[in-house]
Amino acid sequence: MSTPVLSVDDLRTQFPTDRGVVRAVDGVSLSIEPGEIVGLVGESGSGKSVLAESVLGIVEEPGEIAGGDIRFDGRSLLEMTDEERQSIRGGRMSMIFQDPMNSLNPTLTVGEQIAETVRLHQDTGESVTLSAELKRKIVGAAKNGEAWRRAIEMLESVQIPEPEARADDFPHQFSGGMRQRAMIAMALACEPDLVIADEPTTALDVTIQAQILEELEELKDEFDTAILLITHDLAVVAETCDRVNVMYAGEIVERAETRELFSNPEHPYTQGLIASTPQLENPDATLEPIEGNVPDLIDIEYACHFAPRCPEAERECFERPPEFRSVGDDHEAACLRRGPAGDRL
Amino acid sequence: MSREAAADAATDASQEAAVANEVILETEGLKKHFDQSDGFFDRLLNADKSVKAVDGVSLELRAGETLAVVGESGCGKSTLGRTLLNLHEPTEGTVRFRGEEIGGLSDREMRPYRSEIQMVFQDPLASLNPRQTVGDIVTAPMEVHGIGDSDAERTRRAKELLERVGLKPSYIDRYPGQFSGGQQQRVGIARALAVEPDVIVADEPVSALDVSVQAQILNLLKDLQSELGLSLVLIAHDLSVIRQVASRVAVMYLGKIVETAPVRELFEEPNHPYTRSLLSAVPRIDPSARTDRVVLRGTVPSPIDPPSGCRFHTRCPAVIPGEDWDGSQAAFRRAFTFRTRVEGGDVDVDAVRRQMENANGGSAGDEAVSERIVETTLPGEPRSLPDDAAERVREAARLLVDGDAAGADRTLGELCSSPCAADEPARVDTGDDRWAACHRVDPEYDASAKPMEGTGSSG
Repeated sequence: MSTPVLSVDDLRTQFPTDRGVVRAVDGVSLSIEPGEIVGLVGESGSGKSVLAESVLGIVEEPGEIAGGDIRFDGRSLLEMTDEERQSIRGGRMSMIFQDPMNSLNPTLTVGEQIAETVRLHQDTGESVTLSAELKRKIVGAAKNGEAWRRAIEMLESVQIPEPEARADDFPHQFSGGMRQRAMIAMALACEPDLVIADEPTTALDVTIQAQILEELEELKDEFDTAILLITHDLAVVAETCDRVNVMYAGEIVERAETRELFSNPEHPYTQGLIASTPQLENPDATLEPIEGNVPDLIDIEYACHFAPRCPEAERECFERPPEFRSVGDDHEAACLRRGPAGDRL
Repeated sequence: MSREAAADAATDASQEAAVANEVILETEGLKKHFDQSDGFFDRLLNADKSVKAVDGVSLELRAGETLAVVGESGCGKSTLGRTLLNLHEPTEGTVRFRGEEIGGLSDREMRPYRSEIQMVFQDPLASLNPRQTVGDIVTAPMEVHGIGDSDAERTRRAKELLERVGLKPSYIDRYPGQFSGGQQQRVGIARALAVEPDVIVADEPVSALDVSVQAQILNLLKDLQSELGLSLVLIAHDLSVIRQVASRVAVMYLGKIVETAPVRELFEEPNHPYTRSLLSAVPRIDPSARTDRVVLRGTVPSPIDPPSGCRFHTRCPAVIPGEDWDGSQAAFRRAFTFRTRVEGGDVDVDAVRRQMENANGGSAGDEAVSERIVETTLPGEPRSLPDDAAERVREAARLLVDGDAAGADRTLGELCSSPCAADEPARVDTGDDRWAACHRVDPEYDASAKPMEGTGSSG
């Protein structure tokens, strides 16, 4: 195997609060190979977005990375200077968020925003000094450069009709689906090695979601980009990802190749999540909700975070932390009640 | 549907049929338009600039059923829900509760009906007063409607209700902020039940909740309905959720209902192309359940100026070619998309020219600019169209470049005529207790001559 684009190793991200320390990410490891779509699926409060923020280096104060390592293309992001990290972010590593309106600049035209990213991260021979940027902003976008041409090209590749005309629009003139596409165009403009997509289609209608997911896959093939797809939606993961990590209360509880995971879910949480998801083709199956709620992540006292809601939990589950065990081909679950017969509780 | 299948469905439904015949809530030609004009001059110049959120909806809710209203955002389903409760005054048409007109009643006149029709909202926290205890929240509507003889009696009932929705009676003194999203939604449901309504309109009741909690609330709604004999209107965008709890479904697009059918029939055999597209866009966990996807291009048009004829025709993969078209239906769809974009004023000739001049240096000739317009505006290649049609498309692009937009519209209008753009489709019964509004199912339009091809994404 080649060097992973991203490898996260025993990452711990914490938030000190008045009531105690919130361990939002509590010892998570995962890796992504070039050209691969890896899913990170979990409910709200699972820590999946904090994991993304940790990788991007944008964890909000007073949160901090308290342990572990994050390596991008073999180099530790945590040991880099701010300038080094900044040059990777937006260039070789970019992101797509749930709400494009919050991540697009409302005062710049869509074309100009994409062109700006290109100028900053690729050597187009165009000045990126403050005065040059200001001039572009006041006088209007520089439309004869390589960067602007690239912006149009990207808008076209994410299927925005009339890219030349729409590039002059401001974000608010775009519909929700088009904004999300503009953000994908921006994220891919510098041909990044890794894209982190946090709930990229959650705010969209199913018809638009289907378009966007299809485009993400096409673009991945075209640019050989690795994608970390973070979502709560099992079906979205099932349709787009090569491999899946299931996250619960700060920990990864199960990981496998996508087809394997959904045909043989092993961890009781994954099983519960699938059983509680309504499915079109299986309407007669009663939904079996997981009892209780996602726990407060402050000072969890029990070893397996899922134990209090787990229908199979034994006393030992509350006392001994579960390690990953092989439960199938390239398939691991962190549960004391799973794994080879001799180890199973 | 075959006769046997119809008979099967009839037996299936026979249990509910006894109660299902009574119509409890009903709309006829219901319209709700929102005025968008900014001032006097706007009104003077723009005769009708209103948002036609609900634009002629006739629906009935039968006793004991769950009627789901589904559609994309902006289709008007939430406005429809609020108009059913007379929270919006109808612009036109009627809303009848047990045969009595309630649309447009004043607050005072509406009061007796408020205890009959209740609403559950999407965002539970936003719909609960954070300064009131759960007890206050649940007993307040009882007080208003004179239910219960004393405070003690109402509190006792509130505790019963909490238990009924799966909360501990001891939670009665807590505040909404102390609960999780799922528990808050349970409080919202308890409040709606407090006045013993016959009808509950639930607007996206689970879309703000986590999957594992969603299932709890869906099961609760199902149980409550069968125990209390409630009639439910469930407004939702999630088809999987609807499949789980609805008995009948109405599919809404741009202010109109395009198809209604019992839930099983709708999902197994959707009649309207829009319903088919929606269903195929839902991601599936089970790979064997995935269908050939009909990817809808473009977004929902503006409800201020909705398309003529069938409102879905601008995006419909099954749009019917006019009689003069001698190519394939798929080619017609592509040419028609070109027409829609040109007519919609999406093509900016100057921007294209500027861009080309900047990229190449020097000036861009008219011919080159019109070629580029065809390239970016027509889905697919011009040579995939019949020769004559490709030439007309190029001609329209040239007219555009010459500044003759009306001429371009005319050329394309002649090339791409379609009954779907010309006539509004009528409701056509398509089986037992179901109808669709689409020329494709209407025997009056012989669409079989131009069948829809390959449902996969083309262009």
